[in-house]
Amino acid sequence: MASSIHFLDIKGKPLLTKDYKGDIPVTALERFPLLVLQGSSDEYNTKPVFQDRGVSYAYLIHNDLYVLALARGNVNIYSIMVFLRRLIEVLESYVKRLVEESIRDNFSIIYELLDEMVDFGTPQISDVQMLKQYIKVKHFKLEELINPIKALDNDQKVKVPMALTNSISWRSEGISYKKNEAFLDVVEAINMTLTTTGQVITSEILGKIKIRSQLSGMPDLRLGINEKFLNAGLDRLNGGPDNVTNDFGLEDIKFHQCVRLAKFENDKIITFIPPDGEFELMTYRILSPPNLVPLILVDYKLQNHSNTRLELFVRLKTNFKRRLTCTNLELLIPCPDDIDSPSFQTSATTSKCKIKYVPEKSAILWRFKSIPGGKDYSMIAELNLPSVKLQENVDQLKKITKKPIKVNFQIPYFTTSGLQVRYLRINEPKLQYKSYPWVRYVTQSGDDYIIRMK
Amino acid sequence: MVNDSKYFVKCRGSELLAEFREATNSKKEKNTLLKKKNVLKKFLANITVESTDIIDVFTEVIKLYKEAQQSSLDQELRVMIYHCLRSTNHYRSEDREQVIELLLRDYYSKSIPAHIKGLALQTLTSIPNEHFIQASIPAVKKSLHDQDPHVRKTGCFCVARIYEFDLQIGNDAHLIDHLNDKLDDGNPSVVSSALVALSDITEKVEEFEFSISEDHAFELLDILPTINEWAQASSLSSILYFAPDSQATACEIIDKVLPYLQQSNNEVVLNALKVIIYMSNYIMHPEDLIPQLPKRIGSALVSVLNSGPEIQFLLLRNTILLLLSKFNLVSLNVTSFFCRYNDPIYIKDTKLEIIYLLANEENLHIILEELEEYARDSDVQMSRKAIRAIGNLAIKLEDIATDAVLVLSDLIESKVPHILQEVVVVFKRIVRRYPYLHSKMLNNLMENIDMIEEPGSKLAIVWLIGEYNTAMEKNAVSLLKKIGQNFREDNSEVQLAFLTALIKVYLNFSADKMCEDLVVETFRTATEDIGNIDVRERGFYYWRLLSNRRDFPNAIEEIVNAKLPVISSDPDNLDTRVLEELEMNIGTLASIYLKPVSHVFRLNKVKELQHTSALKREHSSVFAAQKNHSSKTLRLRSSSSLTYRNKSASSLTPIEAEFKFNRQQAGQRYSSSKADDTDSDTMVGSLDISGSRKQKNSLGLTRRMSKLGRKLTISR
Repeated sequence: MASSIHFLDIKGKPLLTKDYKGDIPVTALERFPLLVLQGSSDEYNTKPVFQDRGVSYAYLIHNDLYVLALARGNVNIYSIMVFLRRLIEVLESYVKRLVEESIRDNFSIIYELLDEMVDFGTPQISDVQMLKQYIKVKHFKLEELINPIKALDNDQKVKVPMALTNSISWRSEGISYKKNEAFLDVVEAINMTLTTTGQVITSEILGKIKIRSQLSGMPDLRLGINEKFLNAGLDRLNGGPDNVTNDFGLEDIKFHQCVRLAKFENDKIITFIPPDGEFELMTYRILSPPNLVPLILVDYKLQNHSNTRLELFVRLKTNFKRRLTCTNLELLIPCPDDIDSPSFQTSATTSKCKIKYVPEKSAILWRFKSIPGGKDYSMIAELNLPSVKLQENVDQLKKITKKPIKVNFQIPYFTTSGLQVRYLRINEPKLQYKSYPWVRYVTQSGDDYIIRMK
Repeated sequence: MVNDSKYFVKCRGSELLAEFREATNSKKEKNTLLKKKNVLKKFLANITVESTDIIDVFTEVIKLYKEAQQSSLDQELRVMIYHCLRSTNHYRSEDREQVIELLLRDYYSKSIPAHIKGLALQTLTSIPNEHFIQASIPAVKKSLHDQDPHVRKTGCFCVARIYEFDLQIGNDAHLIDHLNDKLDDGNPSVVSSALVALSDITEKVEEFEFSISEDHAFELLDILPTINEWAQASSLSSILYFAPDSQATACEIIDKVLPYLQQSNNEVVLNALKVIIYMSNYIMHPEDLIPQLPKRIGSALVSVLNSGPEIQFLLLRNTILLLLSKFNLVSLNVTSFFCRYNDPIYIKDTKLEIIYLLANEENLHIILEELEEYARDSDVQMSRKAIRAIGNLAIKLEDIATDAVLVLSDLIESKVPHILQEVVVVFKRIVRRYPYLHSKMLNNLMENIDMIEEPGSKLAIVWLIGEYNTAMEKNAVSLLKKIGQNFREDNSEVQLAFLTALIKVYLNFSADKMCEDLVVETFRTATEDIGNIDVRERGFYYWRLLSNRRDFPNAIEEIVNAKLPVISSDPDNLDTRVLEELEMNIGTLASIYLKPVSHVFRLNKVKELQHTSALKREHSSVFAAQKNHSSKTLRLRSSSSLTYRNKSASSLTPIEAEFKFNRQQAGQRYSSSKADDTDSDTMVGSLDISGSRKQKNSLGLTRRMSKLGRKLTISR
């Protein structure tokens, strides 16, 4: 339970402060920038949680902000941290991008939200859709200036909030749409560590099913997933013997709070009353998926000409079916910090791809807007290094051969885990309307699709 | 762009005052509302940037409030006013009275929606001022019986706030009894708020103790699906106040809690985990009884590794705790904890610790390969830590030791300075553990002796030379001479080690002229030029040994070449009781620091496993004896239990909760038949003691509480 929550700019100057318990001295906040700085000089090891003079600090960094919670005693710090993360999500649904500027611009609404989301330092609610019912999205809009009176009218129409104490706390009654639709997105992000010879060191799939529901009333939904996948999941949960069944390598499944968990565990069915609007119904994780081949292969060689000139050879192969297309393929190839007049050659036609040097990332970016499966391209980059600093060059070279190549990509209409959505049944017992579920699949790179160099 | 940030201009109190006046005196109704809001925003902004002379303007805010209460229905304005009121406690006495009156009027008003009523009460109890708190008490009491569940919920937290502010005020008003009643509220959300408030109060107040009966524990589990995620988390956590008295009960609870490991809110998952771990203490061999348990726990832990680094870090620390305390219950694949390239260093560090704990005969080769990769990392810190980890693993598992040394010798081939420094230190430790491994790397290291600079590494290499002076290809004397060039400037640890190494070498090379010269020169420097007493002392000591060599030829051998004890790996484990306590504090700061709560937080209560017949642990009788002892001497405990029936529509079975507390000052005693059954041990113990002390003013009182439909005795 947090005593107070603060937003600070990147220099540690407080922007907004919400005190819930009043048991923290003002000096504690003043000391924060000092302590973070101190921590960072001390083997740059600033942990997100530390203690000073009896006050515990827990913070995270988001864009140009510190989001900080202070507390006393042996509080549940994990809960605080999870809440801070969620708080940022909620605020971003109100102000789009949470930065120093937007905090100042919307400070009164943020205060209101902080009042509502937390009582006595204990998180109460973090459902955006529910909060939006009575803390309206009224962050600054131009029309208020043009026509203040109209804006005023709108304000007065703020609905009396429904009780958050209903048994279905994530959905309110009386929602109505003309056309009842539910959109289902299956998104699988792949993290993989590969060698330049295409050998897989680690791999994992992080999948999620997102739903955007535009459904009236209190609909009861039932999601059908291919039984094989579901069984694998349940076997995993129930700790069936390691070697049997589980063709998928399914490690874990997580559900949104609306899913009836006991029902899933006992009867293998996924049923729920969805929140209104967008939410993540389910996430799953597959460790070392047995059927997953690397979708993008990269070979890399570096030739060093007496520490003043480098030649990088990069070969790229799209290792999936020809009828599929990969969009926004990006390779970030590490290079030294300080390079001169780079020149590039590639076997792909220049209209298909772009190659450029990105100094702020110390990397060369090789980018395809779209590329079909089964293709094979290569690229040579010639980089000149400043000849005055030979020793530095050597150090730099050592460094870049340790950095991995990072790959980003997206392949629509395709999943790798073997999960298939069979159906989404929508049933609203009172209204009995016709409804339309839609499903989309996409596979993309996770944060960590990398090629390690040896 | 013009927007809220324009208010963040420092302005003087007088300017604000003028604006307030303008806003309140303006004629046009609609325009003024906007103006009022704007000036309030400005006021708030100025409080945030801490303008000093803002206090005088406060009267204006109150005026505005007064006016708003009479005329406007606008909620936003009201919410903003509440916020302004809360932002300070520098009230003049006449202002204070006004504010109290206004807030109370809002609270008691019939036309105001429940949500605003709640806020008014929240505001009243949030101003840290005794007058406000005192004034709020009747309202808070009433709020607990409001017809709207939201108000009741708010009321629960208000009680907690009052206790936080001043225990005495809360006690005098008997607020805790009212709060306790809320545990049987018909609305699950109110019940869970009451639980949070109660556990918060009992956490802070020595005299209060909180426990939950079996029925109530199950009732809590049953309401979980109907409450929101944060309430789920706190309710799960409250299950820890229940001590099961049979293995079957504990198993049943675990069964019911298991599905919550699949919740997407990490906080719910961790609290579910906490309950499971806690309950497993009451089961003999839980991993056999519920075979899927280790896997479920393992995958729940690993699933969080995809959250932000801060959350990951906290979870990883808790993973360490679980590996230390419940190794059999956690099935983890070590590869899940391999570091990612862009993990922050504090994550990598923690992951290394976990990798170390998870290492066994089967996975040690993958681990070693991975660690070698880290050791070559361009990040110096990481590289050093990885090398250290390799060393620790080698010391922990003999099977890996030879391979580890091979990896280390591969690493020094890279000739990277920081790798070399670290490898020397690690190799020395490995040799202390497995002396037979010395030959593997000794010569490679000596090749690179010029690059060794850091004191720790110097010390290690000097020690190695001294210890294995005859086993090396190179001449030990010239090596020592080389490394001893800066003997004067070295730190005293290195100097001490150097003296010892030199004397060892000298015993084998006494015929060597160069060695003799080195000895003479070094010992002269040590005893004459160096200021450090220890170094001098050791110099004289060896000097004396050498000068008496003829008389006692064997003695010097025995002393100098005494066999060193073999080191072992650092003990992994913390004390069992500490671990037990930490398990009950999963997710809290203590679990992150991995220290007993009392070491970090003096004021927090110590939690310990309650002793029931089902509790399974070694030496449990010893623990029990200690516990009984302490409860007799330290606590003048009078237990009381309020048992109640749940009136919620859903529950057909009556549920019971006990809320036991003791007030030493008042000497009050609440007791009930239920308490006598379940808790007779402590009851008898405490009765004796408090009975003898408080005999004078003990008089019996019996009160019937018809509302709860059961008998309750209060004795004094």
